[in-house]
Amino acid sequence: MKKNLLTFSILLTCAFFVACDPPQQTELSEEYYSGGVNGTAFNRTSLAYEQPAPAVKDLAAFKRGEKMFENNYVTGEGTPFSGLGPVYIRSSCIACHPVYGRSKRVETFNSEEYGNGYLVMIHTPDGKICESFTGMLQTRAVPPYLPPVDESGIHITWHNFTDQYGNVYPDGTPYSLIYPTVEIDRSAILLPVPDDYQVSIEGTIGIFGTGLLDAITDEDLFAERDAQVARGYYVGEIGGMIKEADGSEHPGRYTYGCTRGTLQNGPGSNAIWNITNVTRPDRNYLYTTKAWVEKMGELGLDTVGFIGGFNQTEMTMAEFDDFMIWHRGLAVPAARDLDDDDVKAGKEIFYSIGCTACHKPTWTTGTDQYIPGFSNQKIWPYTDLLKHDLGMKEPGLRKMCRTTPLWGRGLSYICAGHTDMLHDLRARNYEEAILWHFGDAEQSREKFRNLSKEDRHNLVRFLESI
Amino acid sequence: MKNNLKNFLFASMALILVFNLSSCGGGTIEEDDKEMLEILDVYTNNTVIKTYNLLANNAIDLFELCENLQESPTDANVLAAANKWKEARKYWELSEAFLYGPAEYNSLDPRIDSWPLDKNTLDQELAKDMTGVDAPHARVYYGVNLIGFHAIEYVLFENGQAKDVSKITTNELIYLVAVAGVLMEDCVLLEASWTDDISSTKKRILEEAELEISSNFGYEMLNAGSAGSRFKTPQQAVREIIGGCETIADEVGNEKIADPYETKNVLRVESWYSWNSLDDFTNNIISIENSYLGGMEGYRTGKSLSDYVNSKNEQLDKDILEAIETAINAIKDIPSPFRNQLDNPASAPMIEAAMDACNNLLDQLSLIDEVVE
Repeated sequence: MKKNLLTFSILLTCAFFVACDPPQQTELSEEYYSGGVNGTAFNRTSLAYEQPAPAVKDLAAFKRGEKMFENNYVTGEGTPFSGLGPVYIRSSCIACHPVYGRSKRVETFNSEEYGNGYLVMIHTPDGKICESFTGMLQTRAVPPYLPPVDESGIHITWHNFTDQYGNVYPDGTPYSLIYPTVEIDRSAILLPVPDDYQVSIEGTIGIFGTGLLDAITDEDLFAERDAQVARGYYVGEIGGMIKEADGSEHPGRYTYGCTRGTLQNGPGSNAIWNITNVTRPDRNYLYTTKAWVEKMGELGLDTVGFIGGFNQTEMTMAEFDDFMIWHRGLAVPAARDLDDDDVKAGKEIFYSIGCTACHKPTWTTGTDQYIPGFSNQKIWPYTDLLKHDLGMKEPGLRKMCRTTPLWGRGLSYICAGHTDMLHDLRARNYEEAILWHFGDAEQSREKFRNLSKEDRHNLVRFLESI
Repeated sequence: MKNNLKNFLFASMALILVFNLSSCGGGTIEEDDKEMLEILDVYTNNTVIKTYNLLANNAIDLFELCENLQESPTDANVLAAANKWKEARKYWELSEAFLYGPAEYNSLDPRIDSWPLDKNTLDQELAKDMTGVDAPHARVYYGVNLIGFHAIEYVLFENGQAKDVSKITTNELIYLVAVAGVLMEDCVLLEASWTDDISSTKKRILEEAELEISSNFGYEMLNAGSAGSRFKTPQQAVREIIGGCETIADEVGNEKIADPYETKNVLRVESWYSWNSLDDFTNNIISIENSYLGGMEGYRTGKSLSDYVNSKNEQLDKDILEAIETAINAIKDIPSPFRNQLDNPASAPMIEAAMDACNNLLDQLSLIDEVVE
């Protein structure tokens, strides 16, 4: 008995110490590296969207570029961050990308409200921007100049939407959906506008990972389009060919409308010029229209250089280069909790109900000339970078929208304090975003509706984890 | 032998019992969580909410002193408001190690403290008829570069001193009261975003400004790991404390001091009108100290992050405390005012030492991640 007890005790002790060896660093599966080994940061705090990728070498330039994103530009000359206006949309980048993420849904349009990242478009019923206005409407101006539209005349109205099932799942659980319409008082518009003008809004998306998406080759993008054409369902539309300054052409892969083909000429490089109207050598002219300049001239204001450009600019190319190092170099947050049982169950559902047809889980980047470490990385953005029609009620200007990358989105509440989604932020959470998938994705929507409550929950848990 | 065997058996069983209770890392998951929650309790209540409470109290006093100055413009009243600005400013800078959460996603940080001030636009505003300009007007029509601490500082200070009252125009006084009102409301909102235990005066200020509180962030920190908190584990919430400290150590060393020093551009120096920059930087590092030690100076009780780090890696705790002290002293060694030292070769070693000290502090803080599992 004593011998048995001794043996038992020794075995138990040994077993315990074996179990209590210093925890072995289990190698994480590749799926955790959302931005590839060189493009992923392991940080799940509110700073998750702000991290430099491991591939970024010039961290000092990255920090300088970050400051350009975070700071507000001011009017006049000589002070840091000067050059705002004379007409502009916002005075900083971060105002529309709270905590580097996407903007939040608002009830009232105030361009001075941080987090309200809505861009406003005045367009014809067939979707063409009215010629008096810039593609993104300017609602601010440096006195004595006047903006094209007095933004107090912009009205956003949120409506309830009821689907063909009365907004009830087969299991009896109700859900709620809302969508916006936008109007601008005629009296608030300073410039000529056709009688049948319409108004749309679009929110901003996050910034991290855009450098990695830039490293995907055009050939792979065309191949994905061809594969979707061949399969014959959920067929995406590739962005139009965009001509670059060097004469090359690339298919659009950035913005909701896939209107930008490369990051160097992409939404960020464009926005730091046209949102603020801070000029730089490769954009030495104002983001404006002939109609606005003529109107300011009629008011007796100085418009020299407003059309045709300026000799002196407000941002140097060295500063712009820093900005782009930061922009490109933002890491994608690592995936989280993928080994959790609920998350694993949710993943199976994601792959089985058709989500991956458009939310293509993974790509492998080609050679990246800007950040060499971004080359040949297996990344997990969950997008096909193609446009689809989700058949939404009142979609606004864009009926066809690019499949938005899903990586890192689960951290939005921690980072930016909200979970609003889709191009006009009509979805207040993942569940509503899925339920707005009509059109090309209606079959998957139906499969989602018919899941059990637990399976729906697990699917959302998976989405929160990637 | 019997005794030896008995001892061995007891020792074995006791060892197993101890390890089962304490787990391999020196504490069970439950114990570790409990310890983290204790740290979060002290940090949330005695550091963050206490600091925001004092900030809001001083911002209310500042607004009243600005109103008083408008009613009776005297040098004494300018001085009283300017001194109160410095006191309120101190508590704001003491809060900069916790700029995450409501300060960030409710945009209160840029509203309270944006630099540079848009002086050109401000001068044009001040040249207009200012009748009817008040806090509600400023809240809607003035962007972040026209409100906040530096807007008030612009009216109250000149060359590091309270301004001569004869140099303050009637329009500037109207503007001063309007932006001081917005600052007061934003500071009260910040406190209320962390705790619903605020005074009736503060509740009335929020009601009158029609400001809504989006969340009780303090509750979420205190209940990390439970339903109703965005933090799935207490460790996640503790990591926010560390991230907040790292961010401000980085900002003081590599931006607030480095930017003006490296560019030699005096306009990049924050708190330019009051010459308060060095106090700002020092208080930023004390904000890290308060986060790490829990509570505030003269008000430290209960479990701190420092205690936890010490229990896991005593040397690291010592190194962090030393790095904090070194950074504070290095900043204090820079001759005042900072704005006059940018081109002064004699001050360069002190400025560079302060930058190095902040970066060393940043390096030490980043090692806590290896301790908080």
